[in-house]
Amino acid sequence: MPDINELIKKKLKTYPSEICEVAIEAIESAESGLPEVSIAEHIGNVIRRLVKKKGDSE
Amino acid sequence: MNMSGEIRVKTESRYKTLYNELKNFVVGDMHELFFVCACLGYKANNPILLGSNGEDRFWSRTIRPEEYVCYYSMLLEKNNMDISVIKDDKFVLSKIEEYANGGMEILLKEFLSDYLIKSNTELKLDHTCIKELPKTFLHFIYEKIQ
Amino acid sequence: MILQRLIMKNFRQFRGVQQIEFASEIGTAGNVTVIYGENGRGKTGIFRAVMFCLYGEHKLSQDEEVEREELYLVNSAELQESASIGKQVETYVELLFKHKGESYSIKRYLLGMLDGEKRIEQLDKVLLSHTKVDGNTENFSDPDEIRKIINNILDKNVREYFLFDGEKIQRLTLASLEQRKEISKGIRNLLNIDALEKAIKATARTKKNLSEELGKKATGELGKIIKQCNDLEEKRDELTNRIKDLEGEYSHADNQKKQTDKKLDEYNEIRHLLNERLRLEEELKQQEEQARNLLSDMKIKTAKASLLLVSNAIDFVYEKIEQKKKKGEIPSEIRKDLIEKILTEKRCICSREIIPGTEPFKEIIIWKNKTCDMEAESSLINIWRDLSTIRHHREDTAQLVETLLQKYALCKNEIEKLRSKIDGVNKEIGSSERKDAAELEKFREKLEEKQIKIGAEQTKLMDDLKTVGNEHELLSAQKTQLSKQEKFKDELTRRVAIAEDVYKALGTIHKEFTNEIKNKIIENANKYFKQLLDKEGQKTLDQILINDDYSLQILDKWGKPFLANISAGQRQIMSISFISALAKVASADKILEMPLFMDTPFGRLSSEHRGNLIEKIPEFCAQWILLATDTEFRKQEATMLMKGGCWGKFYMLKGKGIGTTEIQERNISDAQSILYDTMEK
Repeated sequence: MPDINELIKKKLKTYPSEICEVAIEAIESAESGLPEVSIAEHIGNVIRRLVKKKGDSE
Repeated sequence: MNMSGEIRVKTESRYKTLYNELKNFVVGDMHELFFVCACLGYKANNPILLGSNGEDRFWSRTIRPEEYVCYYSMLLEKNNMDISVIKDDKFVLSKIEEYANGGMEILLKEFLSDYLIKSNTELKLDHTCIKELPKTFLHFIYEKIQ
Repeated sequence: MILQRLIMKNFRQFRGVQQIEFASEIGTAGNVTVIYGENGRGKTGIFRAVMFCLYGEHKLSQDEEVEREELYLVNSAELQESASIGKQVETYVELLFKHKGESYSIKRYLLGMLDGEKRIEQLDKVLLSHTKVDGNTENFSDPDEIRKIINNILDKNVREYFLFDGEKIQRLTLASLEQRKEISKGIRNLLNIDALEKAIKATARTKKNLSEELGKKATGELGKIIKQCNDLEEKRDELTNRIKDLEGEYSHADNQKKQTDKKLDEYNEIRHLLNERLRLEEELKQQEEQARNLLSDMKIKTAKASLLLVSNAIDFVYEKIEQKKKKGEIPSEIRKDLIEKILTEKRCICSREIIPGTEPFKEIIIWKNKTCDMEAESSLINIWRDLSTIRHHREDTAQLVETLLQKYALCKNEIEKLRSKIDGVNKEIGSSERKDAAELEKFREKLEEKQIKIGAEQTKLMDDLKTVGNEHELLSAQKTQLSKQEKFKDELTRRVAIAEDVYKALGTIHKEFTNEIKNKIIENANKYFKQLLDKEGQKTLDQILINDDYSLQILDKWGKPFLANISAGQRQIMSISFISALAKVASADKILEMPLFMDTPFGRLSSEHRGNLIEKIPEFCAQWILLATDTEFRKQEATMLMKGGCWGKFYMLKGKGIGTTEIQERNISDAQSILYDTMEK
């Protein structure tokens, strides 16, 4: 079976960069075997970092 | 001959428990058992004096009219229709008591002994084997009638 | 993966060392292996051995409801014998196979022993040897490493699709929750999207947390809508969880029903006896009731019967009084008291003097003697009247007593007969420890009622979920609009927006992939369906569909749903086509380079369908291992297989003592002499 996650990541690249980045982070965390709560926390941090970065640059 | 209801009818004192138990199993009430015994005693012509062994058992008011009529008939037959013998109900019943006493003796001798608990003091039914007693009792009477 | 050889030692029914070499060459040498044997000889055991060897798994999907401890892998006979001399039993399964041109050999060990009555089976070592194309060999003994290597060759999620058994086919045939679950599970397993689904759930959680935070901080209309959205999401989660719980409850009830049905099946042979016993017991009850009533009647009638003992007295007195009446003595013409008055006064009513001792006086004395006094006269008349009644009913009384006694005798006789019959039935039924089948039936009915209630609740909850979903969508749109309008530069709002977008994106991708896989499966399923379906079916049936709810449907030539009208055989072909398609998509290769095990697939199939299966399956896949019973693989099927030129190996499973099977290789050319004809069995 081809690596489904690679295909998913390929598809995500067609989305805006923010969305793509957060989604790929979510999938890679899931692939690594982290529990759901930890993944949720991690992407929460990723989102905060992204928004702050954008806010600083504006 | 008035079918008095004020008389205390007696049976032998040693039959007290037996009367109390049998009236529940083979007949409806005390007077019926008395009647059955009286008929048995009359048929066998076996009157037995109660004497001092007599004990009150029930009121004569419980005796049914047809039972009373049978009692009168028994005495009239034995006394060649002398109507004077049935004038006094107390006298009538005292004579019938003798027949009932004799009848109970026949019952014990010929039928009931298999269903009793053997004891020196009193006669009691053996409850382990009396399930069909109404049937065997009726059958015994029926045989006597034939 | 192409299987080459399976070697088993003391595994399941296969005592000692036994092996099967699989046909594995596409073309003239053949890629079809037939393993032939009666039920219970270990056909599924061959597949079980392969799965155990590759994955160390005891259970197959059909063993869902079976406890791990109840599944024995070590040969029982060997276990018993070894236990008697205090030895353990060595069990192993070795599998040699090729994958992408490279050779593999995996050997998995198991130790078995008896500890008193308790049976202990313990996994032991596992060894893998991998010979690459260049000839170099690598050996592995670490279970985790071996697991990774094997999963890369054939993922454990899809391994179940390489065994087609009656149950799987049945699950797919009937439109039911089981069917939908089977299909959605199949698709999910194929996609291997555990990571994606986990990511979606994690994103949902992040979204929720952020929304809740925003709800606390936002004010006015936006704050209100955010709060409402959060509430709806919570309600949606609640409903989704409840629907899932109900599915579980329904499934559990289904399993309980299956277990009850299994138990009831045990009673089928004695069900008529149980019913007979119930009937007899009812009759006995009635007869005993009648006997009791008759005894009560006897009690009432005994005193009346005793009357008959004094019949002669009754008759005597009656006759005497009757005579007196006839003679006119009673009632007397002249009353006694009047005569006494005349005698006392010595004067007649005509005033004539009556002198004692004279003739008239003597006559009057005679009269007096004949008459009774009034009271006595009245009593006699009453007695006569009563005796008349008694005599009148005497016949009836005698008859009644006789009848009562006869009835009772008949009743007792009947009671004895019934008791005797019940004893006989009980002996036939056997063990009295068995639970009454009637109780099981009642339990089953209750389960069905429960399932109906669950179904009703599920429908309602689905509607509620839809409503909540619609409301949420509307509010979300309003929320987005308001946020934009308010030009909320707040960081929190942006974070919520990103989380929502990520969640939507992952959800969309999930849906897209699911649909892609679904479409691939449908495409392949329809391809196989057209090849396997009989001529009659080809005229009417057009294509297989998978609905949104994962149920299967067949459309006729006019595009109308036709599943309800197809035959059992056509349903089976549909299931086989679907499963073959799943397996094909799982392999993602041009040809299915996976062994296909089919466990008694011919069950309800017509000759034409069987012929199509036998012709086409060897073309679909690299290796076909057909597990067949004596009733479905006969001379006819053997001839068809030989004609196709794909039949490479033929094995028979023969019983050799209790719980032991011997694998006997046979020449294919001997098949005609070994197998049964249609009429023979």
